[in-house]
Amino acid sequence: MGATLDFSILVSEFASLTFDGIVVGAIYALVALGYTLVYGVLRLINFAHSEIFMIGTMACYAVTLALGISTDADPLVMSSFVLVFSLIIVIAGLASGASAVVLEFVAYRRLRKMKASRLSSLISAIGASFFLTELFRILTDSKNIAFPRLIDKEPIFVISSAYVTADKLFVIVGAALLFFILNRVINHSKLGLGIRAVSQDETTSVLMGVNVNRVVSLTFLIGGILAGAGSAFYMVFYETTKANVGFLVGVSAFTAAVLGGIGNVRGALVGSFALGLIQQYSSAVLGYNWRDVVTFVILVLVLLVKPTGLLGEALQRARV
Amino acid sequence: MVGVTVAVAPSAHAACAGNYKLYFQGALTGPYAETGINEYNGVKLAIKDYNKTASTKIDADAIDTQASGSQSPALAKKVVDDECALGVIGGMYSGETLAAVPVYEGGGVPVISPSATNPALTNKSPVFHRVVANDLVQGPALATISKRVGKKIFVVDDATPYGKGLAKIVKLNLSKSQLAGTDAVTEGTTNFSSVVSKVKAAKADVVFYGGYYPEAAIFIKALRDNPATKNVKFVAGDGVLDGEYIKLAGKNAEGSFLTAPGLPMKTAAPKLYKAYKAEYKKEPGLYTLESYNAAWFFLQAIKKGNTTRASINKFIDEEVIKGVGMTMSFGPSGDSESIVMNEYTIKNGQMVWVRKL
Repeated sequence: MGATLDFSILVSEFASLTFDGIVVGAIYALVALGYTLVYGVLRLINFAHSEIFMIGTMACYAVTLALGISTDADPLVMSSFVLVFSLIIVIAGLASGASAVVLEFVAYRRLRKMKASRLSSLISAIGASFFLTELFRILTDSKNIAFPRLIDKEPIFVISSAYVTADKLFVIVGAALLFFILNRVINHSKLGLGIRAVSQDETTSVLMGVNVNRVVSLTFLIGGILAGAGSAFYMVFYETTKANVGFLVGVSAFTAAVLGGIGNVRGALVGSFALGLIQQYSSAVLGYNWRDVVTFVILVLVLLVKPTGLLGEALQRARV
Repeated sequence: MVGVTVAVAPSAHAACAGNYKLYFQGALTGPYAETGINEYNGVKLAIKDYNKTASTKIDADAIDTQASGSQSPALAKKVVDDECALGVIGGMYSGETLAAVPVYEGGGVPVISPSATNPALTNKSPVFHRVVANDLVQGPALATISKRVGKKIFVVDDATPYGKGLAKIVKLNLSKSQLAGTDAVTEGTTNFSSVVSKVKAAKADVVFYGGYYPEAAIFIKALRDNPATKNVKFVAGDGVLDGEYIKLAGKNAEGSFLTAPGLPMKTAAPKLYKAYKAEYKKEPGLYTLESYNAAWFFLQAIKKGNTTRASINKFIDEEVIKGVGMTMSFGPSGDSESIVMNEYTIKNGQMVWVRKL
């Protein structure tokens, strides 16, 4: 069965596809940043990062359970939504951030100390990823989990074919705020200076008195917190999770990071939004099941022309 | 390889006297486990009822495929190699069954599925049988319902053998003007926004979904959330008709138009329904009655003194057995000779039987 091309939908539904693509891209970006930051300092793809995201979604669910919000309940009013969501994003950020730090300590630190090859770390990363997925598969009976509706999804206003709803606006604004904070941290703080120094030259940073282990831990922490925040937005938007949710989101976020130029913070942003839009447009035109085919063809083409990705590696060159 | 297993099996039976087993194949864990557990409960209850009076006791065992066709062949090999295994009730879904049947055939293990409905299983193997009507019956019934409730039908499937197969039959039964558009998603997807945009652009008033409840629950929520598609009629087959669908989709599941060859145990076999509720303290699932009866067929074969795989398979091929609430016999193709199709809906958070189709 071939794909049936339908370009008219790109015209009639352009606004709604674009809007959804931006929302999806914003969630990818929060996860992609974790891949890119860790790659920047360690030259390591942290394949278990997707599971850090998954732990975040589980933490979100646990918070609603603890608060006794059932899936049948009516959406919250705005003021209590802000309160509940603040709690959820903080808990999810903490859960993911802490998991990322523990992960670094357990799966990578010793290998780094022993100057093991990058390949060992990569295998360790994949092992950790499997371990966490399977652990949560057992804990959740690998069932789909429904997340309660926290915010009313009635459209607030309409732009052409796009229904603008509070949850989508919330994802975009929230993610933008987090990028702004991250940018400040990396470019204007002592920690950011340390991250940039280690990513440029680890040995020299040590000689200059940078505590590399501390910088690495904090990089994992920041990446984890961002993934946790991303998971909170994901849950508000999609309202479902399961043990292998990280795989679905992680593959896309990792692809976005590579597309934009892994190691480059701005690249992760550009790559994520580009990927979000490509996925929405291609699944509308060709059918959803062609989405990944198109995505990876584009990735391969970009890498053939520009192996460093759209924006190239820039973290170590201090151009963040 | 096939020759070896066949050679091992008969001699092994001697080692197993009085310790025979019937296996269930399906998902006992994983996203599709709800259906599997309800089916396995039916199998266990049948065996329990049989053991009350039987001289040779039978044990129930299960292989947990998580409904995956990539896992089922290896697990089926375990059943083939189990000297005490006389037969299999399963598989639960079509994909895992299609993958496992050649392995069972290699070991001569008779199979009766309570719920696999894909037409590709017809004539698949001399050891395969099923108590339910296949999708060549269910598909046209779904198309008829779709045409009854709306004018422009949008068809979506999940690219599994079951979902894609059912969607294909539905499409064949719609005219060009009735088919508003199509799309296919992948199992496990959570992002239905582009599909919803397509349904909206096609101005469809009915959506048919060929697939299973975990994705259907997410899809129906996405449809109901979009003002342009919130009133579309949602039509789906037996893969969606499950208590988990109601749990995951909440009130969005209300009013879905669903079909299944399976009979509601509550009305078709009220005595068994009571016994089941007493035993498991929960409602039976869609195919619990069919699972009970599939096991019952095997047990009648054993009762008549058949204790080899070959003689049981012959018994299943030839006999007509009156089970609970249904009479079972199989044609040479392995399909059930009685064809039943039912329409269901979801009302006040409950699965409700509507009519016989």
